[in-house]
Amino acid sequence: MRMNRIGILALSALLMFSCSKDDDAPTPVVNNGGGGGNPTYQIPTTYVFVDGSSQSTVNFNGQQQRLEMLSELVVYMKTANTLGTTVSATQLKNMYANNGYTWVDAPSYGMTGSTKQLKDKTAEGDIGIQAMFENYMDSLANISSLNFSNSTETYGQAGVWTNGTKSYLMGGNGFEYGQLIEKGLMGAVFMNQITVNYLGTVADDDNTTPLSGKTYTEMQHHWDEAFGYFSSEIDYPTNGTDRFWGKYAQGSREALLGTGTNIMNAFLKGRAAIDNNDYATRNAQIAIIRDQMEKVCAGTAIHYLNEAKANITSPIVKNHVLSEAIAFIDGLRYGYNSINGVSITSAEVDIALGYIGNDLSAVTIANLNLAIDLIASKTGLNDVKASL
Amino acid sequence: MSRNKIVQNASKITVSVIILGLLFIAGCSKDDKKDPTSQVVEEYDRATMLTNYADGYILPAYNEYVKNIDSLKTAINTFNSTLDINSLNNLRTKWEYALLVWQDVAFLEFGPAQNISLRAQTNIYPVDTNLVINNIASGSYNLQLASNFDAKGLQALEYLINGSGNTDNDIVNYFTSAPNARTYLVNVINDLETNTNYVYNEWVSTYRTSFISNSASNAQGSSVSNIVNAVSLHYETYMRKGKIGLPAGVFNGFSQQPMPEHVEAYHYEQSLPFVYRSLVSLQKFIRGEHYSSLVNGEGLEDYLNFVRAQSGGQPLSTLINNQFVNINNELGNINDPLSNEVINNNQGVRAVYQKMQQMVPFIKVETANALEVMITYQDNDGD
Repeated sequence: MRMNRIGILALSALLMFSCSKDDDAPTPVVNNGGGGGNPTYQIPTTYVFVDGSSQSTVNFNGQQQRLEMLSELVVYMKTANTLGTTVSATQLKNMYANNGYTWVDAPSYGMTGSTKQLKDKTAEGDIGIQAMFENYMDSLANISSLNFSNSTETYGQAGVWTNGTKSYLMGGNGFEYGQLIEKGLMGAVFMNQITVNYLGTVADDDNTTPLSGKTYTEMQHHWDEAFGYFSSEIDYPTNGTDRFWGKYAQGSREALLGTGTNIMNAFLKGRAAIDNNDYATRNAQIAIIRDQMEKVCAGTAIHYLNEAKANITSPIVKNHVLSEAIAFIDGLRYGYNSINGVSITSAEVDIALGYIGNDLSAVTIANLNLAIDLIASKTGLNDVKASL
Repeated sequence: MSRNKIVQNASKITVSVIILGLLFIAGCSKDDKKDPTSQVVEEYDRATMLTNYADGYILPAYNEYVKNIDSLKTAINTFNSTLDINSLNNLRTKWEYALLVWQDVAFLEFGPAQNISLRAQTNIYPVDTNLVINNIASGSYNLQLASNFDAKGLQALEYLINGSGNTDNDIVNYFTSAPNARTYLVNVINDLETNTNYVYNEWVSTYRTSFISNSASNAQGSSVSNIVNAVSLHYETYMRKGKIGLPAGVFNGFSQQPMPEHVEAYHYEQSLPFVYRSLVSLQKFIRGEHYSSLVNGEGLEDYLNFVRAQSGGQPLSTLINNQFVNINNELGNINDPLSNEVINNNQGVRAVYQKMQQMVPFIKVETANALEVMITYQDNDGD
């Protein structure tokens, strides 16, 4: 009931714009966002687009595979949160590179033996960043093999930290490598692929002739692939709010900023625009998605920094949420806005990470606030930073 | 329930009109008498309530707390320069005043207080006595580190002035022979003073204005939402659980083993005055009463009455006030030291806990629902 109301308020907030101009002609609900005028064509409410023969023109199987690969990787990593369970660095890396690994593949995406993988899409193939994630995997496997129960939540003791209700595998410095890997790859793979790779190149794509043997043009397909890294579900947010960007675009970010709604609507509107050769509208949606994705990433980082403050006296909870915050902050540097100097720069990301440091026992409220303030001021979140 | 009445009132209006009305509430300010539910919640004069809260309770309460921290600092300095039992007792008195007044502001953990996690920097218990002793022995520590939060604040002082020796003479002798311990008292009170002044000054200089003007809705981040969330979190976690449930063993899910050392002010051997005070001040606040006078202004209670919030056929505000009485009556059946009582009269303490537990849904569920506030403080992702 209250969630519905908030969603409705968010929609009505979107309509403020039209109200102030023309109270008599409410704009269609899906027609949000700026730029490109008011399209005359239909914008669907789910990610369903068809050609003249009613054939679907949507395909993002490769993205669905990669989201599912990360999901399976996360499940495997979390087994190490149970004392006595050792995970294998080799298996972690084989999953990362889809190297001879047999997936569960519950949705039957065809993951086992496919050419799709997370590793080669990490930070546009940057071997330094790939090595960073593989080092995290080595650390995770290594401390899982210690079989050490840190039931006193004492810094300097790597193993399964536990407080009776929560148990997480963490290093002696409080780093939870599973979180650094999962949330880190969300930035280095998914957000980077969306905002830089696909949305950065669709303008050069052909949009007149379907690809050989396909129902869609190159531009349609690349737009769909960008969407697929946001959500594997065409009816988002009915489905798809359970993992990765589809999940973190909800919560306080949706309540305060409308991010999940804005991103989905921009993907729908942009795809309809492409289908109707309306490139001004498409370009406006690209800008919206880049901005909103960054706000989700930065807003989630701030959310976890606020959580760390709220749980400052519980080492295990604090370490857990700070590990998430670190990964989201680091992820900002792989987004289009950061790379292009529109918002927080890579150097500023390093400054923010420096406030948290590499030893979570040494965290102070003042430093967490410095990190929050820096991120918020660079990503347009000053007004909501205390509530995220 | 008021919701049933509202649904009946609305029944003659088509669903689509309701939706349209909702859609335009935020966007257009005129002609939006479409949805009775939000009309009632939205029609209340929130700015008046928020002004009453800021000027009638919050600023005077923080001001009183600042003064008490100041008095405590003076008492510490006097003790350090005149190490005797008289000045020790004076210090204890000023410490008790400060901890009592802390109860009046402890639940205001939003805005400036939330920004610096004031509660965690002020009153964590049980105090880590080993860490305090190690810090004093080494003379090298940084009270800003989160890892030292359970070795500073009012409970670290509590330990040092009550538990650092077996007798008052022992305590005076300890401080006489340990200059590092005297320095520790000063560092702890300076830290408390810095944080207290920060919060009070922020309220005076900027936050009062933004707190009152943040009245456009009860959505996440609004002042009403901040108040309801802060009150609910504090009551549920730091009063019900922290002061009573945890030491009584309620949260040891299987053994139910009491944890006497988890009471507030363990070494002082008096915990109940702070329980009573926390309840009195929270009730005053909910009712909109002024901090230092008998004036009863607009508060959450009045907002609940305005929307005619009911539960089980009774006004919710009545239920809340009655429950404060019930808790108070039950508290009359237990005695200090609470650390003994949780062992020797565990059932009595549990009876208090039960009465406190019964209040949780009134605040966390019914008040939040009636005012259309979303409880956000357990917004954990569960992983």
